[in-house]
Amino acid sequence: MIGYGSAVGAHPYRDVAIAGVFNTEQARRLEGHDSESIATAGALGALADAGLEPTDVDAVIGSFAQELTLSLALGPCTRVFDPLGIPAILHGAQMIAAGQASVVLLAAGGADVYRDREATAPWTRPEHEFVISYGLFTAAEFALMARRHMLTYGTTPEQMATAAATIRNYGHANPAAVYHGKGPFTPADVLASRMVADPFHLLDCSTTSEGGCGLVLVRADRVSGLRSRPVWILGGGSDSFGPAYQMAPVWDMPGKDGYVAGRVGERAGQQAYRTAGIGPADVGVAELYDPFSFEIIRQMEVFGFCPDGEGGPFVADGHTGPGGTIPVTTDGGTMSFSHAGINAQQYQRVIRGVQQMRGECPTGQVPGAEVAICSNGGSGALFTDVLLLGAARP
Amino acid sequence: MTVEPPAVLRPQPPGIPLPRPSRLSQPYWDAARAQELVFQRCTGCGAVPRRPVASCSACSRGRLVWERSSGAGTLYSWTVVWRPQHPTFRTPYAPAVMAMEEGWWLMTSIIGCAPEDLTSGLPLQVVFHPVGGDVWLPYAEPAGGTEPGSGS
Repeated sequence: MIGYGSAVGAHPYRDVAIAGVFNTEQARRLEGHDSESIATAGALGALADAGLEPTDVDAVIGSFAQELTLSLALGPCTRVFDPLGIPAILHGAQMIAAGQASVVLLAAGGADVYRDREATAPWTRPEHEFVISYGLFTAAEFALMARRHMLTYGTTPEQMATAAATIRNYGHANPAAVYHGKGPFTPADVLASRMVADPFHLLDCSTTSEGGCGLVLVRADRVSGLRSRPVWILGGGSDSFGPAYQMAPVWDMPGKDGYVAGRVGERAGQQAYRTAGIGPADVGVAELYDPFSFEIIRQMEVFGFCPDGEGGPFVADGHTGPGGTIPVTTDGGTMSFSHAGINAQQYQRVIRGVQQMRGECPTGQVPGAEVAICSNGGSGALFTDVLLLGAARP
Repeated sequence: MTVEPPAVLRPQPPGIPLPRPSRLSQPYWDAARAQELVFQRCTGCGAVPRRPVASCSACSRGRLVWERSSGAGTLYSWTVVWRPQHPTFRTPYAPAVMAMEEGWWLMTSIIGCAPEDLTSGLPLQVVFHPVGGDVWLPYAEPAGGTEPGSGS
């Protein structure tokens, strides 16, 4: 097995700091915006948070890399088209570590994309020939994975509902969340919401909204004099079992070295821990991707917070809530904070992790947390990306 | 929410979004039109790829040939959908993964029983239904069972 962490020598991300993060306003609809304009607002906000100017940027990453290069007059500037979240951040960190850039700007946003409310959001409708006529969409794909966990381990809808209610209550308390003040929610509320794709009720699923965000990575020698406290990348990894939504999602689909598709992200988590030189017990807060309630249960197991098959009881026992051993998705996540669809929600897991490491979350701050684990993706999409953040430089 | 008639799972009516075959997958859809289920197998190592491929994803060496499936297998995983992906779908419908007796997984949809009849390992048989555009889609129904929802 190959990890990119080195057992000897300097930490690969020792010279990379996250110096700026920003979320624009998030809402069901942001009038007057499209995806590019709200991504631009995210980029400018992240630069302002860092105390940097567009002229400081020497690399830009994201779906709108070229547009931002022009509109913010970044040129000449390295641009990287990368529509992903955590892998794009790791790419930016590696550019700095390799000496190709000293200030990397990442931005994303989604607005004015989801217009036809008679159907599920456009990015949830796979068009591949082997799934399209079976009416699959993300909830159904993820349900096919959740069902296997229920059959194998006895995981229950009530346990999943607890995972959803816990995250939605973080969003209920968060003034910046799209669904701020819409709760509080009990597991019974989740179970009483209408069924979407069994076992997922409406409140087991992520929401859709609009919004943008940005991050700024800088070389460590640039952090002194910047506006915000730097946060550090301790490790990361990225696992895929193939294209999302193009074939039957099968939990037991075997991969190499004994890994299976249902536990996608396990290898990435192990890589991240190895690079960081830490384990799950060192992690104080988990800003996990929450497309569906079951994915929290799954990630508790895959990232080593509880034994295999025990994610359901672990979540039901309150470990992931306020005051729990590993609070999860403390801004409300895609279920309540925001889910703009065009990868902003992927960056936002990391943005929240940075805010936790700075200790600046107005709500949901985990006291004393010095390491955060952030994730993107999920089993139904056959990929999971992981990033470990630290308050202290590695 | 629309009130639905009693929830017997049925094939979708014509009008749903249809597959666009690729060059690699055309034999699969041609066979389906003749109500035959086929799958690729590697003559070198015997592996069945997850979807039509040009070279074996297991050994990278063997020649791939199309084999005819018995259409028999068991229910591996499923969901029952009440919120359609596309307005043309009639709910409820039950996307499912079927473990085929030849050792491969088929993405399909269950018909001919009620959602509450679905259990892990349920014996299933593939049946074909026309869904418009000269496309015949493989569905799966309980083996030996009747199909109360057919022809509607």
